[in-house]
Amino acid sequence: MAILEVNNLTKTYGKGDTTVTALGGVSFSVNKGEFVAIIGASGSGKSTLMHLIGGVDRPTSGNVIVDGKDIFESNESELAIFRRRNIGIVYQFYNLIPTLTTTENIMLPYLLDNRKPDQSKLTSILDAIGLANRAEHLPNELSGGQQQRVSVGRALINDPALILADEPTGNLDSKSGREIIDLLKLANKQYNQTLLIITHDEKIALQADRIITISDGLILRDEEVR
Amino acid sequence: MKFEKLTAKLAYSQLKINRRRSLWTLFGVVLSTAMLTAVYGFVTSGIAAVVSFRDGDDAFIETYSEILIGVGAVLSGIIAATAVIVMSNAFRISAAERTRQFGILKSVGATRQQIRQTVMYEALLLSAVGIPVGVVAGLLVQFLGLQIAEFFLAGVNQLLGDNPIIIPFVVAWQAILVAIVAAFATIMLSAWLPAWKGAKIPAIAAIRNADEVKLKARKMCSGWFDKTVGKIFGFEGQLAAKSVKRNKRNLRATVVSITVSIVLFIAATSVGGQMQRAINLRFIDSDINVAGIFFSSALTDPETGERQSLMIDSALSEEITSRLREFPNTTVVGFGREIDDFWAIIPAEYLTAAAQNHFPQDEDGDFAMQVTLITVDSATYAELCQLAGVPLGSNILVNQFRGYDWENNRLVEFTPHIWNGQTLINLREPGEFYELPLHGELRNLPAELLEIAGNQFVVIVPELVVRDYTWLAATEDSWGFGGYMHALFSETFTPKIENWVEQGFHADFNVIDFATNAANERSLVQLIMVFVYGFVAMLTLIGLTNVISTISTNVRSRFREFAALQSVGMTHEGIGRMLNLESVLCSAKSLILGLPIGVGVSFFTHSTMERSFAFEYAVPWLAILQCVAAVFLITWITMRYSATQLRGHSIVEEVR
Repeated sequence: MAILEVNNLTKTYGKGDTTVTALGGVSFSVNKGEFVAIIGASGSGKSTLMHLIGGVDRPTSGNVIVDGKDIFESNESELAIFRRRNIGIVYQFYNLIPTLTTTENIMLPYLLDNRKPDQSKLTSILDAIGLANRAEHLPNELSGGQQQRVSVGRALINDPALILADEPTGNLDSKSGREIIDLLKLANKQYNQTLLIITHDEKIALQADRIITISDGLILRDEEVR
Repeated sequence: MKFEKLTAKLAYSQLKINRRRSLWTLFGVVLSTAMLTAVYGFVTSGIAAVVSFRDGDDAFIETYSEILIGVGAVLSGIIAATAVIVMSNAFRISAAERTRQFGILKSVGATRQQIRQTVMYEALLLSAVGIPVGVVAGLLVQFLGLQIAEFFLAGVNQLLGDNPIIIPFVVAWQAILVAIVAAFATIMLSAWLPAWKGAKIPAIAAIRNADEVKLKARKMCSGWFDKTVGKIFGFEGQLAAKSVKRNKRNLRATVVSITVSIVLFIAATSVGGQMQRAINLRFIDSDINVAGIFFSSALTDPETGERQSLMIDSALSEEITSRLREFPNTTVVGFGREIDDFWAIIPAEYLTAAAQNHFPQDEDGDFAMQVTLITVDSATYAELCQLAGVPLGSNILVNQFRGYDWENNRLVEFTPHIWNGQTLINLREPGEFYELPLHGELRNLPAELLEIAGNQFVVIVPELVVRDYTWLAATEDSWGFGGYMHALFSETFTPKIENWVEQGFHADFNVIDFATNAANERSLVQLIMVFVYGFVAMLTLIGLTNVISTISTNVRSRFREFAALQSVGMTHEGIGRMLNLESVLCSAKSLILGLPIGVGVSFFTHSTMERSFAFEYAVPWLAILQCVAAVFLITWITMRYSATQLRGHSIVEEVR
């Protein structure tokens, strides 16, 4: 069953002579529980693709269907609510709120929804990311790897339909990077979470079920690894 | 503090992180609220004073209450406008700092409304603390202000005797409510625009860490301005000019608030000076400090049809004059005037060009002029005859005119008549003609008699029975002399007047103590000035809170830039010099804007005041100088202050 369908997605910037095509009509679909790596040189359009799937940006044309719903049919507020409930995003630079503690950063999608935090879920995530003893620390009291684990925790808290990770290890040393990938893989295997990782790193890509190679805004290759 | 709501918590932590800036913004909130409370409090007290001063006179009370409320509305408008400019800047900077944070929140699913809330909560938290403190401070200002007012009103009240002006300290919940609502609305308005703008930034732009400072290439190319500044102050100057240009928005609020203060300061100082001069002109043109006036209106007797007045003949006026002169260290001049129904038709050739210009001309080219006959006390008359070079008993033409030219709005003074030695004029009473020989002329009246030069055609005659007589005295003891004069007038005139009034006519006398009046008016003006300066000072302070918070934010957010400059070899002193130059440019900008407007306002008030009092417009140089000095001092101090924040930052930490 396809949890994500991307149909003929295009994104262009600028007008007239200065038009830049970041994405020139990309189509693919991802099944539930799949682990997909998206690779490509910098400027190939992979980050744009990621932002579109995450509903952070809007496409020039084409659509993204998550769990049977065309996300760009919603207005901005609906899209925001869709994001907080269905998508977990992990960025290269962690993007934590500096004034919130580890717990609060993880709970952010819940808090934005004005929902009562699910304590047992939180405990299990804190255990999984190994930060149970850092629950009340602020981001600047944590190392880079720890901060990235918080952001993975934030992505996992809502049992999202989709976890998007944009160069999640790009800013980490190799040991911390490995830990993050292990964590994401664990979520993928254990909870059957669908996982999309954008990466440069061949070693990470090879751990995926499937690798999509993007070049100049188009899909160059889409191959099953195993 | 613990907040259930995420948006409130984010707002609170933003305030906590930027503690120093938050405190300055809070200070701004407190000041604005205090000023609003104080203004409304003064209005309330003022109305209470008006009511107690003229209890029962509803028309008077209504008029003055409306004036007070109007002034209050204008002042609170100025306060609110300044506060919005200043505080919205603080909120804008605070929101801009969090652009990235808003992006993260959006990407994990925050709606626009939630982003707006985090900014609005910031305003709400500041209001919750600042407004109550501000209200208390405002009441304190009101209380102290009224003490000051009482001090200045002491002299006036001594003169008013039984019915002094008492301005009570009144706390009206309505006034406080209005102040709170106005302050709250001001703060919310200040936060609304930044909140709205912050929420509009697309998540993707925010994540990419698009700074608020978007440099437009076109704008940043070296203009003549940078080059000129660079030529004068070197490379640091050029950098300073560029960064002032780049931070235009952040500095705009600073420039505007300083400009408003400059305008108000110059206008207030200048108007105060003009009022003082007007008072001096009215009272201190000569040494005269006490005046006594007897006046009787001319009425037609209903039975006989004759016009009647209570008259003073020369014998009576001479007697009074000599008794007034008995008071020690006092000189007295007395003059009476008759202005009833005497007209002269003057052919144009007997008038100077200036007079022909000033007075209205008949259809047949002549000038119909009202003739005023003047009699002066015998001693003064003898002096005037000597001055004019004529024997006693002569009629002397006053060939001097001093009056207001309404067309050109200015005071004019000229010689009206072409004196040919023996001009005869026709005095026309209805149906009758007299001829009055003129034996001499006077072109320069003594200062104490200048007042009579305001009439169209004035002739001084040896003797006259008049219904309007004035004594002007220059005395060392105006208080004592005033009392003496009043007693003498009561003794002489009161029986006559009572009898006269019984017959249905009107007559009265009046003693005016110029010195005391002038002193009282002066202290009233001083009182007004104290309040105006207080107002300007508070407004400047509100502006200052912004200057300091803006500049320190500015410097902090530029650590990287400074580090980069240092890493390529700019010295610490060089950076200090650059910052100083930025402050100089900023000050110069507000001065360039504020000084002309302030001088313009003072020129405008002068031209309205000139209708009543003639004095040349004086450019308020002293106020301008004070402004320039104060503005440069203030910006220099704040820049120094923020430069101290630079210390202890290493290059390595910032350049990575």
